[in-house]
Amino acid sequence: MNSEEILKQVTQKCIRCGFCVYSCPSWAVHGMNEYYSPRGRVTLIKAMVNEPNFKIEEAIDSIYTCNTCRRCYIECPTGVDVAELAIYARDYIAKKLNAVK
Amino acid sequence: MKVQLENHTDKKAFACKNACFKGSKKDVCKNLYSNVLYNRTMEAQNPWISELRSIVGPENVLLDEASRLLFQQGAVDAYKRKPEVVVHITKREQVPEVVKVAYKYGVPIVARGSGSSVTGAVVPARGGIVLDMRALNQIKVDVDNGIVEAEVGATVLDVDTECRKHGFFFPPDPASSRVATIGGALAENSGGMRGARYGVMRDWVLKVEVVLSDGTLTYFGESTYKNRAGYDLLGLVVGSEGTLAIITKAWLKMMPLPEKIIRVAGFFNSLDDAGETIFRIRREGVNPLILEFADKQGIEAANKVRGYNYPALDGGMVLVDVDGHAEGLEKVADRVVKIMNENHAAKIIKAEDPQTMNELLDVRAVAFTAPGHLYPGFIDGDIAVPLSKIKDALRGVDEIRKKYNVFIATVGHAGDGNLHPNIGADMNNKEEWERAEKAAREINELAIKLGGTITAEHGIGKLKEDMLLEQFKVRNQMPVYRLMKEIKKLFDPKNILNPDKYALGEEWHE
Repeated sequence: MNSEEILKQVTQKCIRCGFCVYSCPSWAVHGMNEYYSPRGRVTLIKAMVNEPNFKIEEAIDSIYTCNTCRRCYIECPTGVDVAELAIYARDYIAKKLNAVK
Repeated sequence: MKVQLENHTDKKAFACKNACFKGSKKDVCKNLYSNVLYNRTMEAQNPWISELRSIVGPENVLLDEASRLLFQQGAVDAYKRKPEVVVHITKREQVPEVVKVAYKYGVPIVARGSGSSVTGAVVPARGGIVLDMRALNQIKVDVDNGIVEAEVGATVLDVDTECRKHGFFFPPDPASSRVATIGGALAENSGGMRGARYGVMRDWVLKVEVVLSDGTLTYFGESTYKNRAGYDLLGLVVGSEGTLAIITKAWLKMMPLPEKIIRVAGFFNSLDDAGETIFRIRREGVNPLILEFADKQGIEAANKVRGYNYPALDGGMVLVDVDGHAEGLEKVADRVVKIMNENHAAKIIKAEDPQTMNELLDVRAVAFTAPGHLYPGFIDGDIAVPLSKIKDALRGVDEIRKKYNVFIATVGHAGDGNLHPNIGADMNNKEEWERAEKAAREINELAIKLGGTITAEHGIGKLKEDMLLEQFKVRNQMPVYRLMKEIKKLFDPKNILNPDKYALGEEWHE
């Protein structure tokens, strides 16, 4: 599977309960802004890979501020690993923006 | 009009610059300008945006695409709509001012906590403003008076944790207490596991600070354990799902911590045995702290995600907490074990060590989300039936599962007759989704038939508007609906507070 397929498949598992949000240090230091929360990241990634009109640049700041500590993974009741998703998403972004050759 | 770049956009620009270094200058700059353009157009068309900026500060008024996307929905995908702006509230005093602006211009406004609503209650159905209240999280415990004061952005777990520092606890414990905010829990009148003995949020709130639809700040209730001054508007606003007023602070009751808790879990081979156990425990006067149920699908999901190895049998698990003084508690626990044995439990676990106790509770918590493991779509179930009908409800749900061939994971606070038969289905598969919707409807009809209710603690939102009217019709409560509409008009003449929810929108009538 390529990163796009993985992102599509895994983000479907998110039920948006928000358990991850409160465990996220990145969210805490960004003034409790949903944009910098694991749930925010999953939602943006989901939009990024599924909605053709979504601008990837909107999600960059969110995805690159995940420090991949995986505290959210411990909390997630459906087992979404946001850190792993973020890494795949970076790969996806890099390819899409044609930044890394 | 002079256009000022707001801070958030600047931040985005910074992010874009980063990307530019990676060599995609053109796209990135287009994106930056699209945000600026959106801001300019919005601001030119909507003078209230600059008024909001002057109240909460420009960095707390978010207009960018990503923020609007993040605040377009609750925990379910079926209902969504992007708001025009997201406003981060940082001080309680800002709320009346913001509501005044919304009232002046007639802009819809939805207050939001953590957005974990499963009924679509937090969706800005008409766009407008979403108030992100999470930064209001101050908590103060008043031990002498047995009261805890909490701002609405504090989570239920935070409040409970604060109380525990003083040897008390806060009884309502929605399964989502880690994320559920006090404001959201009050607006939805949430319950939880300890509801078997302690009831719902309404039973634990004494007073609230509210902002009415025109921005007036006032208080409902008194910070005393008893109060008979005036109509019970507190009871009215709790469970109103943000359609009548915006709550900004609450005065809550707390309870002394029990000395000891023993947790007993029984695993059963048939639903009838499990149902009978639940009924017998209540009938024989055990008075459990919690009395929970999780079915086979739920236990399987928990085993898979958390790596546990609990028996996933057809009859599921009945989980009972008994509490009180250490001496004599053993006896009560043994009574529970005896009832389980009499009803052919396949396995019984009596836990007193923290690890097993936490695991068992975790099984029940994860079981709620079981459909999410397998399906991209989720329909929340939240019925309550009289205690003697629990067995019929469990069996009925099982029959509906077979009839429509859908995935249903039933968990519930069985001790107060409350079950959550949650349905999992693929939203993108039209045929499958229709089957799921039919099954959901039939489950609600079953609840009404058994003399129960279609919602016990999750509320109506967008999900159950039709079923609310159905229940009112069957129970000869249509006058209640008429009164509800009148009350809504009285509280919110411009229909700006969380409009189009709770069957109060224009498309709903008798």
